[in-house]
Amino acid sequence: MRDALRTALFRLAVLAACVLAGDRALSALFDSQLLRSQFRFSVAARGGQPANLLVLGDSRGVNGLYAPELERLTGMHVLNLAYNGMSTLVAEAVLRDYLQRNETPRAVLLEVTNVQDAHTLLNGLMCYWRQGPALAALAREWSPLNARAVSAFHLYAYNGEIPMRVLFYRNRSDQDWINRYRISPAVIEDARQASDFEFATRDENLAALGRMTTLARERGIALRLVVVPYLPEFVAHARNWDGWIQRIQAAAGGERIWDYGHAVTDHAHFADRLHLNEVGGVPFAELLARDGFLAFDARAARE
Amino acid sequence: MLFNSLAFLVFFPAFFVAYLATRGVVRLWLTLLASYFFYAWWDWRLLPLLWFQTALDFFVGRAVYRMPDPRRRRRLLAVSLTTNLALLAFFKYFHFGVASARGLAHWLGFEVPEVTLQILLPVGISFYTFQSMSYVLDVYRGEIEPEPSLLRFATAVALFVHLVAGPIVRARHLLPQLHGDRPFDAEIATAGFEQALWGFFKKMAIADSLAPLVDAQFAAPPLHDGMSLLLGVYFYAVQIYCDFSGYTDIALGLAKILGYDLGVNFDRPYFSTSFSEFWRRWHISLSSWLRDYLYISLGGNRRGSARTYVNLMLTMLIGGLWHGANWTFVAWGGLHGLYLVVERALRPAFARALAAARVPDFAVRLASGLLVFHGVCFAWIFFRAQTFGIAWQVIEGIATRTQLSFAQVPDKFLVAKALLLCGVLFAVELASFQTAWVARLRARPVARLASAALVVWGIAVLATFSGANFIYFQF
Repeated sequence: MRDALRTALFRLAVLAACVLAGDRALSALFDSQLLRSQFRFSVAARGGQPANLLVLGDSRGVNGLYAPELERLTGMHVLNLAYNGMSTLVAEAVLRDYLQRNETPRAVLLEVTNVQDAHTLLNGLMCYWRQGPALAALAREWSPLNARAVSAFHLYAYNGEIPMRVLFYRNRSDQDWINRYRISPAVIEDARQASDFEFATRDENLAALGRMTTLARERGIALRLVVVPYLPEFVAHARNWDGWIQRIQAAAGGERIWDYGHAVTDHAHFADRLHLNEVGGVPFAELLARDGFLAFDARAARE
Repeated sequence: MLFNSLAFLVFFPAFFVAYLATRGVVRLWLTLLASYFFYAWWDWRLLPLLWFQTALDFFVGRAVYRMPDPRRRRRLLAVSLTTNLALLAFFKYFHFGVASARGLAHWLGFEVPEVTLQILLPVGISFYTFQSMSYVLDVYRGEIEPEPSLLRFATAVALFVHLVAGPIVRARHLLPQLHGDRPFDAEIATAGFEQALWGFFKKMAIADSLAPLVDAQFAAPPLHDGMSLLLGVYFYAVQIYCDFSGYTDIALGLAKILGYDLGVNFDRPYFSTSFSEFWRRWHISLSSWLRDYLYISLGGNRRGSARTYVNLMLTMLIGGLWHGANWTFVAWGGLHGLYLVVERALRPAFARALAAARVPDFAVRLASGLLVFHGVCFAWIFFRAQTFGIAWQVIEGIATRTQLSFAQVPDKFLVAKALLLCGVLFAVELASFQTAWVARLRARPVARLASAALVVWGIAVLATFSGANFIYFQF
């Protein structure tokens, strides 16, 4: 039995060695591919971006602040770094890492309803933890188990949906990403029948919003805080809308909140209760332009 | 304690070291106590029930064997079966029975007050009850002699690798392996390790990746288009297979490492070309249990066609109910019973017609395979849906919202990942039919090492580390 045990242990050791060697080799290969991709976070991590308009937020930022249209209306280079489930805390880390490797943007548009989001995207961005110190620090604080797992087993960083997007957008930009479907009557009816609810906030997100405001002021970046439209049948059930917006504004040091939460009523412009679609994205960007939301005076912001 | 939990990652190596360091009765005690610890990790209050059923069947088994009078033997058997089934019925089906009775009374115009008890469903009760009952039945039938040692019998019933979700290992299969120490064999342990690793991949990478896509479809079917619902049904078929067969592979693999052979529980069921073949490949330990102790006891196919059909339907209906306290499970079993009956009735005529039309064998097998797979998928809708209403909404959605377009499918990257994983499973299972090729591969240490490493890397990149429960735990 001793021989059998020795054989089994030897095999286990060889397997462990091969697994670890392969882990380091494959993750190095993946890292190099990661930085070559045209996916939004790869573009930011690669550095050297001349972007003078940066978009941050969760999926509502992705779909509500449609980068190609913003680019057409402003004539500025736009990089939409918003992503599904991006909380304000994660947005702050993404912004800090961006500023380390790229030119200071002229303006940052932040879709602020992400103050209610949990920080699940932090784990989704595991493959960028080794590329950005702010994200890595946030991971150590908010996801210590995963942070340890990634440092021990590098391939684990590639677990999730985002590495698939990195691969998919290897040779083409993802900046035209927007929901391309229309809300169904069943979803509208469901929203109409729903119970009343309250919008929430997370303290750490509000604190991050305050820090982002300060950072923007220090770096001379015009910070635009915006609430993009919700489906009217959905938002009608919100009991604390005004109070919620005021709370966000207070956290942002009194910065103006451009509230378009109730601004769109045409159902054709929505993909679901929370998101505009490609039909709604373009006219909404035009509405922003008409309202002066996209008129930046960088010098005024610096002053 | 879940196999896919950090606690088990500590528990198993610690147990294994102690297991190797001990011999004879000490090893049996260690295994038994570790198994009870493993079980008590969920809720220690459930242990007395397990002890009671174990002791009952142990002593009834002995008494049945010693009793010369057939009538008293039958009475003793009835005591065991009635007690086991009554416990199962109480813990698992009480609320279902009460709700069904109230529903029936309401339909007949009577109002019956609601009765609610705080009943905790003991994990794995369906599995260990069937296992323990089969021991008494085998002793009664004279197929085995009773086990003289309560310690050994209790270990066979409670062995942690199969305790909570099977396979339902018959006493006649496992008890002989507990006589004497199982020697550690490097080859068998390596094969067990590989099987467990593949089981972890199936559970954590495939089943758990498909779960959120399936859950979303079945949570609110009217909100989804036909294509998404159809994908949800296909994904559920793969999810439940990988979840349960993954668990089984882990259980069988760990058992092999300990030196036990618990048999086979799944044999690539979705490659079946008939429904009867499907049931010879799916959850084999349950289907063979139902065949041996229920279908054959009812008369099997020995009493004419009509009685055979009735026996098939009854067996599958009870098999459906075994899975859970809900009429949807009964409907699932009923559908499979219907498939088996129809297949049995029409097969000869079909075979003659196909032979006359000279349809190539490959085409027949392919068409049969697709038919069986879709029949099984259709039945899964009832198995997965919480209510008949939801099942109907899924079917209606697939049938009426027919704009089968991927453009409408949300979470496309998750869907793409799910399709990729389904492809991996299909390729591996298809390749495993090439037995000569597999044997050549397995004879090369480098190939085995590479495939094991590939599975570990696959788990790292593709698995979901949510510690999700195994679906069959609820049964």
